[in-house]
Amino acid sequence: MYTILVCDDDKDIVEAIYIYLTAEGYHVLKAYHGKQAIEVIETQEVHLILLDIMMPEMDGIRTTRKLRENNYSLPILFLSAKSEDNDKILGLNIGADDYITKPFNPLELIARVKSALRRYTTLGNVSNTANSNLYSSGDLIINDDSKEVTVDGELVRLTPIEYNLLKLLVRNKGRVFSISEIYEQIWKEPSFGVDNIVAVHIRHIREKIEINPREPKYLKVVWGIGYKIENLD
Amino acid sequence: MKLKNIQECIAVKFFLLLVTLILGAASIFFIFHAIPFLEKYSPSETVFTQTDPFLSLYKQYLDRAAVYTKYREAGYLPDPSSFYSKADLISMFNGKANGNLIPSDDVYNMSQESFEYYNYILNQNNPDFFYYALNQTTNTFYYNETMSDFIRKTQNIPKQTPITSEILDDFFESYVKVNCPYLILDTSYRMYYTNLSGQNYSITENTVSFALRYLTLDNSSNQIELEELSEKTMTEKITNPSNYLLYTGYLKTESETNSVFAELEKEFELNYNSYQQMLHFLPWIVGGLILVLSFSIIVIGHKKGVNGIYHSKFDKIFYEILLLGICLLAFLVICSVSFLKEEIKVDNIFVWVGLFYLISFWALSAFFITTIRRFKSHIWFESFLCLKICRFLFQSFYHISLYIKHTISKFFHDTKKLFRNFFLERSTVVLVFATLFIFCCYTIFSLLIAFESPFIGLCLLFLGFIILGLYLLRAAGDLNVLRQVTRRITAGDINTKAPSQKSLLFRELTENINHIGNGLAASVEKELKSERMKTELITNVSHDIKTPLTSIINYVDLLKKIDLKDETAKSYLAVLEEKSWRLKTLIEDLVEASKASSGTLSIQLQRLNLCELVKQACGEFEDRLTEQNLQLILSLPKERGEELPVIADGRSTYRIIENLLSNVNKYAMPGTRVYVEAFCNSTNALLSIKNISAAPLNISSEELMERFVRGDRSRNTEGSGLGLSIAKSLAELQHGSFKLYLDGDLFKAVVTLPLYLEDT
Repeated sequence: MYTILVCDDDKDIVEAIYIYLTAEGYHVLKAYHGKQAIEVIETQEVHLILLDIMMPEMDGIRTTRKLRENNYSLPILFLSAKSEDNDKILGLNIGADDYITKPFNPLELIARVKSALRRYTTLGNVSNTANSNLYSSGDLIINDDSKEVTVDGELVRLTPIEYNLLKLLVRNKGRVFSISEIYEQIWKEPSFGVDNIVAVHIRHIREKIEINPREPKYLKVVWGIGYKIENLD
Repeated sequence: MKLKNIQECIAVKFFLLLVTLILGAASIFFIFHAIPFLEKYSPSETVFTQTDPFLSLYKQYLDRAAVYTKYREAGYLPDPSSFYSKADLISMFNGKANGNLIPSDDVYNMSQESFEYYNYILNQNNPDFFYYALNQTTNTFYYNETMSDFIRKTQNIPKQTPITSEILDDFFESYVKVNCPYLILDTSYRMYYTNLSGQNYSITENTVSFALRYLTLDNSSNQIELEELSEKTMTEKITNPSNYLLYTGYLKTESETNSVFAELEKEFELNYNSYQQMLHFLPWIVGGLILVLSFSIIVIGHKKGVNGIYHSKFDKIFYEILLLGICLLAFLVICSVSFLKEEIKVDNIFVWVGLFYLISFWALSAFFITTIRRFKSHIWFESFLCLKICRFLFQSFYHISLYIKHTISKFFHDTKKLFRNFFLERSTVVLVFATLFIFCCYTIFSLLIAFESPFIGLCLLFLGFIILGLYLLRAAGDLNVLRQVTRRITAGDINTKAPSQKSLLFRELTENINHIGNGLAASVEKELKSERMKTELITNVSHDIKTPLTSIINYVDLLKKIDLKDETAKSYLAVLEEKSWRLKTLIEDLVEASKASSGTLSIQLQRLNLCELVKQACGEFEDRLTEQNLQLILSLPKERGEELPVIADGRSTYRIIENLLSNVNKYAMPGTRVYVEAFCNSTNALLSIKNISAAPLNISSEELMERFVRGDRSRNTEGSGLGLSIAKSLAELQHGSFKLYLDGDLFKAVVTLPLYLEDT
């Protein structure tokens, strides 16, 4: 039973999120500006905060900074109408764990909350043992012994080709692979004249391992160059 | 058979050519036969005794008769036991036969051989020439001995009767004078009487001068005066010591001896006949030729299967060249014929003439045919090179004159403008004139002083020039400063200010330039600010809209979770959900479109492989397109190894393709094919996407790229109507271009991006 603090100056939004999260079985606390949120956190145990950026009294950025200064390590998820790249980068840089833009899909919100909580509570303290057959990037873990792939601790079902493809990318995380490179490594054939098989497989993998495939966290597209797994360690 | 069929019939042409060849050959034959006559005689000489050769021969014999008479007077008689043969005599005196008789020489170097020669010539060899010389003083006479029988026969004189001078007189008067050409020479009166006449050759004193001089042994030829003897003076018979009467005439005796005169006459008859033949036949041949040629003119230039006049490459040669060729040919033929005539035997000449005829016939035929063709298609005049040159020269001249006219009028116009502009500002006029006036006055003043004391005057003049120079220097400096300022402003440094000027001429100009600069800076500032504000406004508004939209979306979702009994309410809810999500897309697109068009979007240009990007993008859309039953056909430059390096921003380029492919997904007719093609030219990489629209595209491609415009005007389908506008702005931000082509239901979009070149 985790406690989640929802902080937004729009009461209707807070109410809606309250309903969704309560339905998922979380204990939800409400706050309507930054100061209120800090007060709640200081008085009660909170496992995760959903924080709006533009708020009266104290905005989300300042709140986050204050919390991190006070050594609160709980996950902070921004929830903002600001969708520019600059805003996202700023938010993540000052210590937020995720950035959700308004208007959001309730299912995506829940998925992201769940993911953050899992990472914070269960995986956060599991250190990767020196298992040579274990490849990972952030919370994407491939166990080559059991041929299992988990994201945030949740098992993902992949076809053999998808599995091999993902393994190739995770083992060389951070490196960009072009389509022909991937094709030659996975299909073991010259890539000449191959159209978009690889791209289609990549999309399928992304749909399985990403919360929002349009804004991937792990499997990123480098347009015009290739694909890569973001190095999150 | 129609005329056209005849014109196009090859056999007719062949026939005409053959007939022309034959007729030409016939005319050449006849003309060639008539040439000897025309060369020796003039065409008007129709009687032998009027011809030049006869008359000159007659003169020769007259001279010989005179010489012979002189010999006889000297007492020479023919030697009956003469050992000289005919051939000897002729070869010995060949020179004399040609008339090279010099009176004085011959008189003093008389010899028996000479006499025998003249005797032979006049009495034995030539019975046709009658002579009778009478010394009026001694009354001795000499005549043709061989003529005796003929005289006896015609005068009815018995054989025994000797021939006296009376008989000869009678014979001459009654027979020779009536029937033959004759000439009587009277040395006492230096007169002659004759009926000889020719068309070109007239009997003049020259004809008889030699004989007269010889007989009288008078060398002063220049003083000789001759008159034509009249009938009256002849009858007076005045006797004069040592004077002669020389009767001569041409008598046809029909003797068997082949006389020189008879040979000449025979030759004349032969040539004259040929000439007559030519005169008889040539008109017919020429008539035939004209007929054939006029029919050829009708036929030439037509060919089966060719409409109008047929032309070969030969017809394109300049006409002058052809004319020159024909002239050259004529010259060559004439030269060779005259050469051959002298060098080659008469028998062979016909072969040569035939050969030349054949060669010139083909040349002339070709010339004739091409001329007729050119006339028929009205290009004859055009085919003259000189005409073309003339036309070109004329045109050039026309252009040059036009140019000169233009230049002159421009000069006048400019001068007018110069004065008008000068007087436009009164202060400038005053300033310039004042300066000039003062300077002139000063110069005159200094010169006046210079008359008094040259040193001071010249110093003053020099000072004046220095002041004027400094004045001009300052004006030039001020102008330079202004020029630099305006150049800087033009280059974009709009905050440049010109330093204030002291010069009256430039003060106002400086102030105005500074005003313009300030105005420009202000307006640029304003423009930038308004552009920024617009984007900012849209961004802020979008934030303000998004917050309530979040509530709408969430509560619609929550409502869905509540178990509604009413089915209608559920359908209403579905509409609400769909529209609220579309509102979200609309806002996002609006922000992006605003940013893209105002250029505030940050892009990172780098080297990308367009092929890779196209594959990636297609991979993203493959499933969605398959759902719509659309078949994607990808065409990449295989010859380049599917490498199209471009300088572009990856995300923006993907956004362009994404917008296009999502349009395809929305608007393409299900069950059709979608063609995605990447290729390149020398500087750009191109990407084209073609599909068949489901709805008719009754809209122009420019309109389609406007914001908020969609293929269907009803705006029922999803989408913001900004996709193509965004794509266009993004392509332009990346120094590329974006174009749409609509052709019926075919929708084609072409994106151009600059190629990445290795050396740049």
